[in-house]
Amino acid sequence: MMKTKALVEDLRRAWGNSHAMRRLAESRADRLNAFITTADAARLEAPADNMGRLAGLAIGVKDNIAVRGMRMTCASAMLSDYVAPYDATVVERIVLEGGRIVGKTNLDEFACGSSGESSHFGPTLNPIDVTRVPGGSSSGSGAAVAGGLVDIAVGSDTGGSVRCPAAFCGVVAMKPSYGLVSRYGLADMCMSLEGPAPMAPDVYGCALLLSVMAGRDERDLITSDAVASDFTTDLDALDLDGFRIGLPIEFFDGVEPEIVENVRSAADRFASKGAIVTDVSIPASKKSLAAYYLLTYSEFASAMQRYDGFRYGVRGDGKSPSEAAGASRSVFGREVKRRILLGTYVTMREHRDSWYTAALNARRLVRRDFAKALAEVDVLFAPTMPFPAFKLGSRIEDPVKMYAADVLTVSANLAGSPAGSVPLGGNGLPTGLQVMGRPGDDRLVLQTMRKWETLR
Amino acid sequence: MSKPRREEAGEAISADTVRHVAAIARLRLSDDEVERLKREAQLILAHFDAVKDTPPGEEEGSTRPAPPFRDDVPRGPDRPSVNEMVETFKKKKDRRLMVPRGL
Repeated sequence: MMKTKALVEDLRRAWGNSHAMRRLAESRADRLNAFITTADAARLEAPADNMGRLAGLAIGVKDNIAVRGMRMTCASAMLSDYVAPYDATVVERIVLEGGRIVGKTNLDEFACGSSGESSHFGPTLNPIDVTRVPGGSSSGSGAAVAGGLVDIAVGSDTGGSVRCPAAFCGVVAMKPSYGLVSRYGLADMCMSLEGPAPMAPDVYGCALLLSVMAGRDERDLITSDAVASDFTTDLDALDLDGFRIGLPIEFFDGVEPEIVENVRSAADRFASKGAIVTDVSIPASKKSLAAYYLLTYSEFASAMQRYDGFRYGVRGDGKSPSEAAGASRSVFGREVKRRILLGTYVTMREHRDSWYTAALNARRLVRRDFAKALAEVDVLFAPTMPFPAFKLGSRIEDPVKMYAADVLTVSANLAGSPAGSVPLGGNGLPTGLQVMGRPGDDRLVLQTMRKWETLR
Repeated sequence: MSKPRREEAGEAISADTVRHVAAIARLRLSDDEVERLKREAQLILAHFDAVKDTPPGEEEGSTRPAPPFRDDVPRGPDRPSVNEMVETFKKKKDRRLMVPRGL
């Protein structure tokens, strides 16, 4: 029986609230630092009054997504007092289905990071080993699910931000196809690549939350109902006879040998049940990491202009508006300043063609190569991360080393593809199996991840 | 501030360039930050050299479905009510709000 499915059925029978809610209310001291803000006792303890699909479930929401009346800090000193005046579309849909938002989860400042260490409110700890990072940028969502503080959680994924913490904390995450889930109410980092995304202890939990969040929203015109539906209904329906799995050879370079071996063993398990496993190539993925960061820098530098103490953020002292804005923006952390500076540099007229336009061209090549590979196979298997969770503080001083952690996850964002991470298994620290599919094939990706849960 | 000379391809980013870009980006940086960011920008852009000057590939059909248009129906503003906005202010009395001084 799937853990989340059993919980949902129990809660519906008892008209009750999840134990996670009580645990959270009782242990206000959040030793993982997974939350920036928790809901007040009234919200946590109120009896269930809505028997929707998420009735009674305790849900964490990443603190870059608006929940009306709750603080929304984006883990930055810039927004430490900001209270959201409206609900994000995904939050609206969760509440309509009876889900309880129990807190706003920690993240890297403005979602800029892969370790969960760059939050103004301090690093999140990994519940599996508190000396290690939980992964980022949805660090609090991952840690809260793995630590049992919530039943499911909402993160956001721009270049791997739910898949990385899922792999490091041993839980499940699903980055939907671009355009499946509304971005309305999400503080943007790189609008052309990102969206809200579910995290859960199992594939059923991700499928359930995605079913609630997905679909057309008039306030975000990239969204559509084309593939939105109930992803839980035929989760176990995948027939492996003739099912084609591709292993993209470029995604195994520089990966720890044990992880390579575990991904290949997973593919072999599928093959033993009738699937056809072949090597495929996505040559342009060698350019993915650079293209991803250059595009992210560029869009981020533009998006961050609104934080100047006048429109949003802490007011700075100064004799002129630009001086006051400069003072206001001095509260940004190191990584945020680095990205704003580089984003401004690569989009300046004299550098734009060499860097920004080149990155747009590289993105087109990645999309083309993804489409070619996925014309030959149904899904792609790869490691989610090239290594398990690393020690706190071991990469934070070296941005190039930190960025390298994203090398296997960013391609799916550039391609607009659905991509999920499900625990690989093994004896040591958790690692993730990444399953990627064609844009719009979210159901197939979830079914494949679910199949791995039954085979491993 | 005068504009620094443009670096040639492969030439390191100078501290003056960092200051110039920071001014455009409205970032106030200490001298230590300028030095650190200069060093990091050089390292990062050298690392991303594989993408530099990538030419446009041949155009292929988009894999994304075209976004639908919403019906062109007049409607009121899609934003929270005044009362909802007022609720988010920390310091208030009745309907008067305390806001930081402009300049």
